[in-house]
Amino acid sequence: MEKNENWSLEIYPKASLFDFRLKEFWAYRELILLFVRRELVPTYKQTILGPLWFILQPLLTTFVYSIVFGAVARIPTDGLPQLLFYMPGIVLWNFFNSAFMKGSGTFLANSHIFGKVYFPRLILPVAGLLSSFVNFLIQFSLLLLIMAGYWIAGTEIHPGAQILILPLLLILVSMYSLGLGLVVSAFTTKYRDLNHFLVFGSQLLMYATPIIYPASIVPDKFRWVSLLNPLSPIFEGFRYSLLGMGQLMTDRLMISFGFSLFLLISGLILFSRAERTSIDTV
Amino acid sequence: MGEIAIKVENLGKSYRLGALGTATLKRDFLSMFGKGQNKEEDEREILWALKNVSFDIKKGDAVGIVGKNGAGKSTLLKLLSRTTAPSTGSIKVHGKISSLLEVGTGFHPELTGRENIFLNGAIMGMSKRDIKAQFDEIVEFSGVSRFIDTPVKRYSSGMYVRLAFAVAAHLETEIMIIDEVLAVGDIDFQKKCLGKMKEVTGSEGRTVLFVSHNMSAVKALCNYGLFLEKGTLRTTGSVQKVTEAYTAANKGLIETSELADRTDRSGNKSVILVDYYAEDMVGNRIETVLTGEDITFCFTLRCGPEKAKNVDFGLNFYDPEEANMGVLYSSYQSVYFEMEPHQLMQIKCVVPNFPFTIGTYKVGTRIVVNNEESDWLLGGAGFISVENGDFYGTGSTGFTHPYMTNFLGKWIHEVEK
Repeated sequence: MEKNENWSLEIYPKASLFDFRLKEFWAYRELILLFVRRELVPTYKQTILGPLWFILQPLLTTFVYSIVFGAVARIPTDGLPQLLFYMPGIVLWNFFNSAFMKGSGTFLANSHIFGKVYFPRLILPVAGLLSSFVNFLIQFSLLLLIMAGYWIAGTEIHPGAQILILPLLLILVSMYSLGLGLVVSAFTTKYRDLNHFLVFGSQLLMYATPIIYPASIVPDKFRWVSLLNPLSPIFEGFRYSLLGMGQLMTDRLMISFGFSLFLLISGLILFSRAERTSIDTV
Repeated sequence: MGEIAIKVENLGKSYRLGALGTATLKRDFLSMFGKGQNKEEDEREILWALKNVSFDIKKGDAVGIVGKNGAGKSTLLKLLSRTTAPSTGSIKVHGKISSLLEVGTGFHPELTGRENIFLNGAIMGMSKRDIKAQFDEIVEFSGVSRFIDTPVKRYSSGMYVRLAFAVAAHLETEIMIIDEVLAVGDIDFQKKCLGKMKEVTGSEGRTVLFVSHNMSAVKALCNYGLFLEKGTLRTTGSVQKVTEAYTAANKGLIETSELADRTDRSGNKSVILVDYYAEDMVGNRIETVLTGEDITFCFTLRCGPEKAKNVDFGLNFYDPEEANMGVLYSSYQSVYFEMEPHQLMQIKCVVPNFPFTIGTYKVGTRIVVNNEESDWLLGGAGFISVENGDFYGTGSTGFTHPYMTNFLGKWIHEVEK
């Protein structure tokens, strides 16, 4: 009895800084897929248009942006048709923002589950990332269709080998959004103020990123904003890899990568610390 | 002695009192730089919900955890089920733990019964293969097979609970933690659950931790007990010993309040209430009673300078939302009292088979002399806390929701010829 010291589970007040319990996380991988399903299916249940909403949402946003920023504010689009210019940015931003929002809401939105049952909490932000990615894939296919349409119609776009960097950019966005989501969610367990700031903050971040305008038109006075924002080269790179427009800033992408990695690791540390006692304060 | 399934050593859990606000950030910053504020001040703000608790639980035991509200039962469960981390000490476990602190955790209203079975099962730690293998059995146990492809938001609350419990009952973990889930569902389903739990503990050699206020259920299901009081372990041992200790501890003294000096009262004060307490049938003063007990409410009245005839005494019970749960005036039963000037008199009112369920009730009183209000304590004369007990005399606690009124019925049946 007592000799048998190979306990299957030991619980202590504190855990080491880098103990992310990834093995346990892997054991629960089936749950991730179920949560992804739980996120996706109810979106279109009891709607007349059903899964069509996954496509309509970015189309409508693009349409609105085309009117507001293109037709009214006349922000240049680097010589591209407005639809083609706005849509890649919007689709990628939707992916980033949705994964980030789901990640940062982990503790507040799921406190009723967390208070009742244990599973690695990391499951939820990761499921949020994956479900956002599924949404992204749907919207991205639509984007490809539209691009093909323009290409056949003879618009000047230059798809090519640069599309190969696309997966890398997506990994970068994933790391960035997950990392940032983890950091914010860890802080929201104590400082609820962040939650109020979140919607505003994400909007601010969006305008600081070249989504509705090309990086080339940013006046020198404000260039530092875009230089400081590690998302900028990712979004510029995304447009470049799809359309062959703009430029690829390899050195700045490396910085973005470093920053994303830093975010992800500090996110994991803060998150695994917060998850231990989150229900005491939420 | 068998193998140990759970070993708990020096377990403690503290909470910081008061709201988390702007002070939190400041404190966090200070402690980050090693400038902890006044230690004593800190100590006062900390509440130990559980302190220095150590025990071993053997494999295959069914353990009843008993204690009053606030004794630390839920905290212990939270720590064992890993929903929160301890502040001190350690828990070591052999085998997989699943906790049933609430059935239906993670159910999504838009998803169908089928989808929710898989989701809920996985949240509780079942693999997809396990759920598939047991799917038909789960559906049959729940009795909602006709609606299995309907979103659960269309379920009645009974169906919802039955489905949720069915998933939980089919968990195949070595250690199960159960928190009064029996308080839900109809009688038939409760019996089915009790049966299923017995099956779980008896035949399959699983370890079960069962938290309940219901002494008869604890006695029926468990062989070992833990009695928590104010965050510490008071008694451990056989379930008999523990439930006895618990029942005995619930018959403590109540503090007497200076009722006579209270000013929150209305009336002409020709007769006023000066003391109140409750006692059990043996004459011990009690603050906690069990539903179904015979309770004596004792009131001391003081007469003013004039003789009082036709004194009508009324008492009632309020729930925490100040809803009146029931009123009884002595006059309803044609009882009036007579008092001489400056006389003290004690009135005792025996309430047989106390009908209210678990909760803390405010006891209100009002004295009427010659149809005129003489003394009405606006804040109530005191409180009485109630734990679920054997109202029906059958061992069943019946419907155990808080702040309900039990009643008895006479059951008659006729067969159609």
